Amino acid sequence: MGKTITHTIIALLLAASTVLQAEAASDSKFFKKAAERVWSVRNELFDINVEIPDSLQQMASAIVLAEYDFVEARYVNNQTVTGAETRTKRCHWARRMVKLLDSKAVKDFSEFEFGRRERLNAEFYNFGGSDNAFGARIYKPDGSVTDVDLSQAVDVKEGKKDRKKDVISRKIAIPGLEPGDILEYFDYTEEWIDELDLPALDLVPAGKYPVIAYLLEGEFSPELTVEYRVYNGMPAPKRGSNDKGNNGIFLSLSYIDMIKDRDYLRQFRQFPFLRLNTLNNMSQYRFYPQSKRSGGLFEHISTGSIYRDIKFALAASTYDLQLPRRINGAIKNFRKTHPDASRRELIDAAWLASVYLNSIDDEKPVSDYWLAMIFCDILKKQGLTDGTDTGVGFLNSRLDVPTEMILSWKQPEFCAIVGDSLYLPSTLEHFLPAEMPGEYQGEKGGAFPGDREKLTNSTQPTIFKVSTSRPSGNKAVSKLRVNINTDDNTAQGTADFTLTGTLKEITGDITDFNDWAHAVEDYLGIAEGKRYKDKKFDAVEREKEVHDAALSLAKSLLGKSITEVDGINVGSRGILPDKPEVKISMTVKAGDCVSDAGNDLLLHVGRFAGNNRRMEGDERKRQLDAFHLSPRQYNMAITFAIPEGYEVDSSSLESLQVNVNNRFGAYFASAKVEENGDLTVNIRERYNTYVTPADEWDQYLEISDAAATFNDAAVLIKKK
Amino acid sequence: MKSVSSYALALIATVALVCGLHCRAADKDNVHILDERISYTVQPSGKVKMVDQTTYVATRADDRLPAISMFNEDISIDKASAPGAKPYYRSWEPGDMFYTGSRICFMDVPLRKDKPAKVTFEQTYNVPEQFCNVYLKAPYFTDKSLITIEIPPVLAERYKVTPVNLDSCMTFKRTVGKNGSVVYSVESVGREAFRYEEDAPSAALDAPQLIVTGFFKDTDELYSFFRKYFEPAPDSSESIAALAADITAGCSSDIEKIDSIASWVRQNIRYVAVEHGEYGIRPEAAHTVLERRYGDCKGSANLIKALLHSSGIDGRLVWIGTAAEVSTRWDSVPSLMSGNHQIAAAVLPDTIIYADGTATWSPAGYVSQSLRRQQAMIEDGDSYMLRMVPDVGRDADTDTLTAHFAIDGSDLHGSIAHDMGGMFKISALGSYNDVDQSNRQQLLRYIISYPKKNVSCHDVRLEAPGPASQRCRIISDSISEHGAVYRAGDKLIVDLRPVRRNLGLIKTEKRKRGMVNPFAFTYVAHIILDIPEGCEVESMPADQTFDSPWFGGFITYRQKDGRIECDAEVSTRRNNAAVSELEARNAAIKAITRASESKIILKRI
Repeated sequence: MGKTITHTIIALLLAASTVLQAEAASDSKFFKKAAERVWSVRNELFDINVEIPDSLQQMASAIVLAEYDFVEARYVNNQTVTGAETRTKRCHWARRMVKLLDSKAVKDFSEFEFGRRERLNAEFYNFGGSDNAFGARIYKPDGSVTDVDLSQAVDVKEGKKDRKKDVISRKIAIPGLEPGDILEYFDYTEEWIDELDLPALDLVPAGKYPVIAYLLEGEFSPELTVEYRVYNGMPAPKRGSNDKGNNGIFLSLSYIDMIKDRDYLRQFRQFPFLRLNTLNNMSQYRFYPQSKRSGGLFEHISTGSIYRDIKFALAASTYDLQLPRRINGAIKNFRKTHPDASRRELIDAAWLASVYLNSIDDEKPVSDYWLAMIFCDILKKQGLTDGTDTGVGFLNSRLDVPTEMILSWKQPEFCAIVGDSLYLPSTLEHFLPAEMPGEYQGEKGGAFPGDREKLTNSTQPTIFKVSTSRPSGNKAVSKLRVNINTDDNTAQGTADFTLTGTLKEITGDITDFNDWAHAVEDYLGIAEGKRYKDKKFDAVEREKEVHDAALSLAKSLLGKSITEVDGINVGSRGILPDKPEVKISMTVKAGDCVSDAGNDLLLHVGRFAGNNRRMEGDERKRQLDAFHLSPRQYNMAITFAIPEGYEVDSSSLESLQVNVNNRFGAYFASAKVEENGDLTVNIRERYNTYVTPADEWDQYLEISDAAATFNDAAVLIKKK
Repeated sequence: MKSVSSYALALIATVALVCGLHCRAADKDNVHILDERISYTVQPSGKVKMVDQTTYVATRADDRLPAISMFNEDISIDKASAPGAKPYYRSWEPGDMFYTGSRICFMDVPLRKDKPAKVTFEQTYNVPEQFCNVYLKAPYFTDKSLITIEIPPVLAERYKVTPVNLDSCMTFKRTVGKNGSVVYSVESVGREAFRYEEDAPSAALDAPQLIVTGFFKDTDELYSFFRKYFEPAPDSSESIAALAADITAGCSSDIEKIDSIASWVRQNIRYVAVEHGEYGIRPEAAHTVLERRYGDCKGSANLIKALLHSSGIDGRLVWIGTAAEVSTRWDSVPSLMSGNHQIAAAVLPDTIIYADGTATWSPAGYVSQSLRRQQAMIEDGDSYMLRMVPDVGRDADTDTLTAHFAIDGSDLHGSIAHDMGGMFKISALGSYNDVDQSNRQQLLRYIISYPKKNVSCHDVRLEAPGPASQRCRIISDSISEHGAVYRAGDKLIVDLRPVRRNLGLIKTEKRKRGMVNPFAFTYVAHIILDIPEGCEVESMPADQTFDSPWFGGFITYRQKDGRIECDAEVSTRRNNAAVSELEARNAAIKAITRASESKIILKRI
């Protein structure tokens, strides 16, 4: 393998891929060809008389009687004077037969857009593209069958003139469709790319409707490296080859349940699916890790193989950029002004400098892969590491498959590992250097510490697990003091919020890139003339954004009774090593605080304790585990100044005393009347885990029910 | 049915939306219009050339301006230019339209602080009847603006331009040129930005605009135009006749037949709007609509007309404007802008029954509020009739809550039912059938629990005798409203909350426009609370009456036979409020809410 992976090549390919263009829609010949192909195979699967269990009929508005995913990938090799040109051609179609049980199903399956044609261009070179087709037929209860006439579709045009060539797709409303009908349709795509790889295909049989029969088939040229993996309980397909020497996969399933849960889901961790890569590992014009597989069918590539690919990609990576020089300059400057800084402080500063200078780079900022690499190299150059505990790492969050189940070396996010610390570029506006967002906590990853050039065949990655913080590490502490105005039923006062760990993310727009950049500039001591200047920065508009974010935060933590905030002061943003917490204070106004109870008033304390709705019906039982952001804790200390002429009826304080506690969390509340007559309420709501197993959901509900109940808590305040 | 105003409105909505993302502080915008010059020149052929040259400036910081203009197969884009920006032409279908052929020309214009940038759009209205009105608003503050409409001498007598809703900053003029052409102009200085605001009236109703009439000399000519696009003889194909016979079998009166036909079309023809070019005006043939099982308002109306005819009833097409979008009448403004909808009518010897084929869950005989008191143009052979749709059905728009609770610890436990008529019924059944079967219980729970959040209910069900029934009921025989009973010593404080409807508080901060609630309604509640053994009533909330320009009603409590009976009623009165009245309207709502939240106090004996 004589090639290296360079930043320049990657940038070019990225640039090329951005010129994806939509062009005129495919013609009717293509549609006809697609229909002939699709309607002519596996017809035995599509049985309109298949028995539908009564239980399924009452479950959803539609039932998928049969679904067929077919994938075919071919390798094409053209010999030219400059060498072999290689191309991957892939055809994928999904054919579905759906019984429409009611008008909602008719609506869901009545309108389709199809026929989109796209081409990838780099300058004048057309190196990839895709064409789409569609077809449908309707089975009526009386036994009649009608093919949907695509000539009834309307043209969707994009362009100045009304020309036929400006048609980019077509839209059709399926005619004659009624509840009780069976609709059979297909979505057919042919795509191709020269030298590079087509994106991975995810085949997901389960969805919002139950599926009675599912079939997956694939056929692939032996020259292509076809790698696939099944996830989350999806059965593995059978493998084989046909008499043409092509490789194939085959999977048949029946009675696939619909996904009933709607909240707290992580699709790539819970929905059964198969991910398939059709790789062209034969091109002479691109980079491959030396450990690439040659043509063939590879099921469940071992984690070690993919990690080996990452290793060899890293070993072969070089760059020639201005960015490292700038970062080195910033670190030197920081060292001068912070002669007593610890190694950790210097590493954190180096990380901030790296992310900052990359973000404001006049050239296109480099990706996480290159930034992690550059950062590691700089630490070594600065003598901040001997290299043995530093290297490029890789991991996935829970928004994708687990790192140990990735299918390609390009799939994970890349980070830098220094000792036990992990530096992830995507965390900048809410987190400290090396502080991990909730979705990464508890996830496994890998790293290759040491010199990249010295990575050898036998080098094994270091496997790590991102530590999971305790609830107390992800805390939102709210301190509220309000005065009640009984005349107009409003309250006003002050609120202070302190947020740590993963809960810093809920501050949203409180810190934007400008705020972050200016804070980092101050921290690093960037000279005034060299600081980032956003010519689009509009202080008035920014003030409005901060106001909206602060109101949203106050409503989120204190409840929707909060109607207005003002005097917002961001004391700390939680992004710099010397200021790890977010601290925000503001004045607040609230409404609907009291109601009349005879001559007395009921003070609705619970309306200041967040927004907690009691989950009901199907929400109280779960099919799948529930995923949350992270373990977390909400502390609230609320002081109500009781209006003149009133006093708290202490016999009504009982509803403010709550103690619910189990292994998934706790909800504690207590209240007391102070000597000056003020009412103070303390609340602690804690969730111990980032995932609640489905069969233990009732324990989570115990906590969330307590929180919902407290939202209705009130005390009687009597006229003196 | 479409008119150019629908495109213009869509354009304004789009610009406002996009700009809203950029400039949310309406009174402190970074981007201003320095100078807006828009000229419309009517050609002797009736075609209209539009040249829009608008100069923008960013006053505080660099910015980006989304410059947008709509076009379609009737209105072309001839030129689009701006410094540093390239025009993009994309498909853009407004709202719930399946296909109108609408496109936008979009330019992402870079604005440098204090450097004016001139954006030019030139367009041609190739279909003259589409040139109905010109809006005098932009989503930015405008220092000065001059908008002109030039009518050539040959059309000067015929065409009229009428200003509507002009702001005090605007001056309208009519001048006659040397060649006899007439120029209407509106000059503005210091014009406020016009933006989308929640619950504000449609721009068609309250935006300053110039109404252009004259392409159609009068209503007769307008009708003659419509007449070209439909076949007055109803479709009497076999399939229509067979279906009509089937639908009306067993009907004993014309009214029953009309209701059955309207209901069948509403239930079986799904709304799919294909309205490009002349399809915006031409109704699809009835047999085609039947065959496809879909159509827009015109297609559904045409099918109802044909089915009525096949049933021996005089079915007609009706052109009409909906109240929320159209403020003009056919007779005073004979223009496409006076209508945006088509329905059918059954003309009986003594009355006219209107039937809207798109009102899916409408009760039989119910005329929606959007059509009441609107002027209907009804086909009448080669001529037409103008009639006002009667203001009937107000009583139907009622939501009646009945509940019976007992105290169970800190909960209220019992049964509850909402009995819904008119638009409440349409809305409830519409929402129910618009969600997947798997989510319907959840939807019913939400409706029956509102406005309380800490509620458990079992066996919630929706009862509707048929799609065209007058009312529907949402019922739970077992509901627990948690935390509705508070304890203080020997007192039980009960939150019965008799008014359980959202009355629509409006955020007033930085609001520029008034509000309109398109639906008038009456809400009635009858709630019984059993007084627990060993308790007596210490106090009940005082009876309350509500009497504001927007709401009327009462709440009363009576103790009777060991129970408390609470009756409440809230009826809407005026359905709109100017921006200066919003605080007063909010105060009226808060007074009702506070009265509804007043507690019953029971005492242990």
